Amino acid sequence: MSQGTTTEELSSLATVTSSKLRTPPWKRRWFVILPFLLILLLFVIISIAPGLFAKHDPIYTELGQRLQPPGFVDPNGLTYIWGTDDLGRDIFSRVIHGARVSLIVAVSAVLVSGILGGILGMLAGFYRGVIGTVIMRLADILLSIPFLLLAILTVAVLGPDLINLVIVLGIVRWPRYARVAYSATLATVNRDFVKASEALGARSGRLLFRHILPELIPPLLVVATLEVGLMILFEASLSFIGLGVQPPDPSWGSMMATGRNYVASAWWIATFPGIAIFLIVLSINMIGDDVRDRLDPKNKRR
Amino acid sequence: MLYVVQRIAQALISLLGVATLIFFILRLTGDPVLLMVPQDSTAEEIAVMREALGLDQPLGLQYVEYLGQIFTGDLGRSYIQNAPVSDLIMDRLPYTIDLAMAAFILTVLIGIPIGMLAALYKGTWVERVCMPIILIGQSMPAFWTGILLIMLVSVQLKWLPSSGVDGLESLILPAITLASLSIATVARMTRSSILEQLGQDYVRTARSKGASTMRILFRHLLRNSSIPIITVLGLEFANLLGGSVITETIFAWPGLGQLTIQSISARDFPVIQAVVLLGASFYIIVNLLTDLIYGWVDPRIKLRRDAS
Repeated sequence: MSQGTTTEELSSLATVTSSKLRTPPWKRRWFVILPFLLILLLFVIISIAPGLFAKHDPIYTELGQRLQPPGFVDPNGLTYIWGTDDLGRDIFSRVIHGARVSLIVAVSAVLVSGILGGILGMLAGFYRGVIGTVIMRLADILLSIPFLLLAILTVAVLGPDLINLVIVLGIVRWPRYARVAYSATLATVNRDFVKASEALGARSGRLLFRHILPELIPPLLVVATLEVGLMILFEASLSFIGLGVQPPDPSWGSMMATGRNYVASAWWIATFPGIAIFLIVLSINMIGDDVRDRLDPKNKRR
Repeated sequence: MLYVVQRIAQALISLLGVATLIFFILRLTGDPVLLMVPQDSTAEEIAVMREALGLDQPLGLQYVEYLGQIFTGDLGRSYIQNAPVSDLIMDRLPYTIDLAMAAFILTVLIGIPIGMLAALYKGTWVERVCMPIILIGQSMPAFWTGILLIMLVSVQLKWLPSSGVDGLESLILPAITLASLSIATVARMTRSSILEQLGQDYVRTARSKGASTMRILFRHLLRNSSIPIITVLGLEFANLLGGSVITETIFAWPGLGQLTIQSISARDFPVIQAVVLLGASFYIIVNLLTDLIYGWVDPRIKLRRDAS
């Protein structure tokens, strides 16, 4: 076993060195991923400090200057580089502040569902028996409901607001993590180091959190990265149909719903938030793929 | 045979679970009557309403009745429109099926070939054209694809209508919009499963025997890589029906998705509940069918599962 690993490591080391010698930097993986990392970094900075970029109040309406095209300059000499929407709000500022809303919802939803799913999956894999069956069957049932419909139903009942949105996305998405945590736990409980620790008298809690949990982090992280992109899409989708972030708070999804109504007369309303969503989701998908390829080379590019 | 029975039993349990889940979600806020009655109703009116809807009975009894109704096909009456929910759904269902079928055909006709090309011509310009299509498709939300299509095709070029139902013409843009994400998913899956098979010995053997690329592709590769492709196609078809909520909103397409949105803003719970139940049942049934198709495409699976 250990010898096999050594040879494998050696051969992978050999390919790494030879590829370093031969491939020019612009063909290396980090170089391909670099622009996407930069875009993501930009969005993170924007959402931490939107005030640095947006000079207008994103929710201040000025009906006198509604539907102005990009580059519009108001009487006070202020420029609206991406134009204004149907209520005279600055599109640029709304896209910038929308990044914050979008990222906060997506990251919180991933945290809620990841922690919930991770713990439930781990418990199901560790205790198996009735607990395991109940948890995993529940996960199967949740996974068998089209996600958007379940989210729509829950938001419709609870009422749309930011906290509910996070709760709904979290509750609806935990089975994804639970399945990964479950199978990783099953693979880990029988490994020697866990058995040894158990033989030495470690209690369940110690086994779970000291030995099994660390093994679950990498696969869960891969799921989580890709889920952030999905959550951004779902938040935008729910906001687009009016069940997500409520006006006047800026959200890319609801901005695009407005833009749909003015698609023939004011193309800029939908275009800029659309580009923002596309760029951030693309970046997260590319980075997520890369993380997966690095952590789990067997499962390349599905 | 045992496998088939097992899978059907599993599907039934899932259906029951979904129905239960929906029942409890709808009662999550406490009293649904308070959501239904007009704002200025008296306590008496509320009580009458509660009794009329059978909501004054114990939760357990309500639940049993609810299950009984579902399994006899009675989905209740709409609170808002004075009609049985099943009639409302039947009015809308054909439109959604049209849309989903059209999108599914596009998915198969575009997604699978793109995935095959990207796999067969790995490392050439063909792959460098196909991969960005897949990556872009995966990162475009449906509403952005739809709005872009309207901007270009309807507003700029004036080729196709941007909304409504007016023959085949008005089906094209919604179908492309709905299919875009599925095309990317299916293409990606096709690519990876063919790439996996390309490294196998039997491909090399066939090639060394002088078989042409086309023959290897259709006689060997497609059959062996069909399982993951069928799975993803099945899931995508079920998703198309669910995903039509967004697409129907963009194109004012009068299907189930629009009905859902309208019932949500009217808080018409029996309709929402029925649509979700329908979508979920459909998803479960498609899943069941794909699993059964496996056994037919690849008999080894059935044997393995029967044995275990």
